[in-house]
Amino acid sequence: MRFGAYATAFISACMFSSCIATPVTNDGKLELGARIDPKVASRQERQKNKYFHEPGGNLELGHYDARYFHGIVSDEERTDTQFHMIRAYLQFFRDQGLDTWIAHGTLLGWWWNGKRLPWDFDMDTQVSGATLQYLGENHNQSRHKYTSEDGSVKREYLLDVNPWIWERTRGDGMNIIDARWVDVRNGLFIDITGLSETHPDTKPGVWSCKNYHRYKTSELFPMRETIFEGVLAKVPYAYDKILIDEYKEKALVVTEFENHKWDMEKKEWLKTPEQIEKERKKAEEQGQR
Amino acid sequence: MYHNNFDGRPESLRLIDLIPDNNVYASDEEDSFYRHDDDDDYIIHPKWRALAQQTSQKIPRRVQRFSAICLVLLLVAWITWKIHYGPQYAERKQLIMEMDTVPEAAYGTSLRPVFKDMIHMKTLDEKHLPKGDKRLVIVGDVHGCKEELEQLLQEVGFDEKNDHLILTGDIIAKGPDSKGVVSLAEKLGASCVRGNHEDKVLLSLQESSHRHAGLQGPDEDPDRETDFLEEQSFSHGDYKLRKFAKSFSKKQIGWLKECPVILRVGHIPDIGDLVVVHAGLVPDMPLEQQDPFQCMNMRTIDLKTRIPSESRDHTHWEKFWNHQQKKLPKKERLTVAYGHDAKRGLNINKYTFGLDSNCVRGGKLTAMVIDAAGKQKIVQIKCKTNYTEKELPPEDS
Repeated sequence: MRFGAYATAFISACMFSSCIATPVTNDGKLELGARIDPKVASRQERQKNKYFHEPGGNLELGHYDARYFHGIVSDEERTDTQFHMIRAYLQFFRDQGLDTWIAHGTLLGWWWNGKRLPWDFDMDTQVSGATLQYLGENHNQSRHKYTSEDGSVKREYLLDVNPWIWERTRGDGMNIIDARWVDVRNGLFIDITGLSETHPDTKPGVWSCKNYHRYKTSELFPMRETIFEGVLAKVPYAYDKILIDEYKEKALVVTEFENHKWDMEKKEWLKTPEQIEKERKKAEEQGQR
Repeated sequence: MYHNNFDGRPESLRLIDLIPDNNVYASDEEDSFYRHDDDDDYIIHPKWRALAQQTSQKIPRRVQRFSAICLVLLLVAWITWKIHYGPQYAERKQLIMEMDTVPEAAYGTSLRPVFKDMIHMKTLDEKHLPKGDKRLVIVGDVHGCKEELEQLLQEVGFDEKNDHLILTGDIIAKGPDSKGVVSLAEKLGASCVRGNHEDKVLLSLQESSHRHAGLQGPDEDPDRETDFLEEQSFSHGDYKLRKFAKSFSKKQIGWLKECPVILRVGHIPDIGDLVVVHAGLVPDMPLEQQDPFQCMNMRTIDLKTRIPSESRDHTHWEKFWNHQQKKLPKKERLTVAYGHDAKRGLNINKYTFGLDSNCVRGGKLTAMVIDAAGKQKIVQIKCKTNYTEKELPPEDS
């Protein structure tokens, strides 16, 4: 029995080693205009096609735009940045008569208490493919000045549309984000993805983004108008179903997550005392240095 | 001449002579031929056999036959328990156990989402509560079947000036005369809750009332069949819904908008506190906290998380609701009248009144008539035909 297991492990190791020893070669030359096959192009080659760049690939650095990045911001600055950023974004779309709705983690935050999740590094919104084209043709690279309601905060945002928006399928996976709403002070952004009916002939009524999130027309439309971070925003028709499909049931019931605990009285996600203590100690250590 | 055989045996020796003892003959006349019940070789000891014979002779034949029948019946009962009632009983026990355990992480602590132009809750004017000969008439999903509604009200003997009509939502769509039903309800001064179909129509109108920049969408001709753009900005393929929504008059839409998601009826003798909602409610959660989408769409609740859903895969919400109400002090118990689940049909429990009996598909239209004493009477009329077969509905379910 045991010998059998060893033998199997040995044999499979032998077979696997041949894969390591024979790297995949890239013989096929890419033709101009041809779709890039993700299996053929190497990581570096694919990276060349990427439009949006981040200072790093990890969870923290992956949420800044490389052009405006000056260093990781504190939780407080991120909260403040995101609060004004989404308000400015929703206001701009409203003023322009353009449709957009909140999605993914941002939608989950809305579901809990109409606010963003405090641990979320970025925010997500969606638009239809047609709106995306319209944005690309009319508002690409536009800058938007913002003043908060009380006049105390002034910000500037860049609406940057990915030139790869013509491609509505995943492609090489390097341009799945269609547009960004960037805070030019620190590089934090809102990810904007377009949804299109990618196969209207075989799969009518199924909307898809480039990262293969799929939605049925009847789950998305007609949209509902609600309040997010204090301003009017839209959410999909069957918001509960969309959230459960993406995050599973636990996302709607678990009250402890990412060092935060749901306060049932205040209806807020609060940092756990342990986390506050941990952060205080870390700050002290850095102060001593 | 004397000669040997080829094997060298003398010819005089026959084969039979080689058998040492030829006594193989057994006579059946001898006693030893037969088997005997010796002391240690028998099936039933003769002593016992005799005893059994003796007792069986003492018991009358009738009784013997009777006990044999009893034995067979017992066996049948045992088998049916094993393969049918046993598992059912175990399932029921399991269900009660699950309903009684509060999950560690349960649905219902979040802040209720707020939506524009949607009234979450209203309380019925006290003057409409049954008193004297004043009655309350609650009618399940009408779905545009105006003639049937009129016929049912006639059957009930509905008195406009005296009785009050409450509709459980989904009074429009699918059937032949949605506008007529809204006008009739308005004329009768009826109350109504917001069903998923009212919700869709109102949302669709809200969407098209917005200004849309340079894109085709809700403001384009609703009669158009094909899309010129490869992609659509708005409710792609929802032209039917939009056209349907626009067929209502401003006044009708205004009336529909006033329908709350939850209608608190108030206290009724014998029944207790009564509320009306289109689809259902989650137990142990204040009415103010109930998610409006779920109020208009739920069918079941997953007991592991207590998350409601439209699917039919989990425990029917009304089952859980009734179970939970019985645990509350009498004063806090709440009875719910609802529609939405035509498949389950008329479904009356102590604390839930399910009144959608599938009128629009040729089923029945149901009214629950409640008098001043809280006595409930079910009145039903047969609906004319399956209207959904004649014309495709603008929306399913």
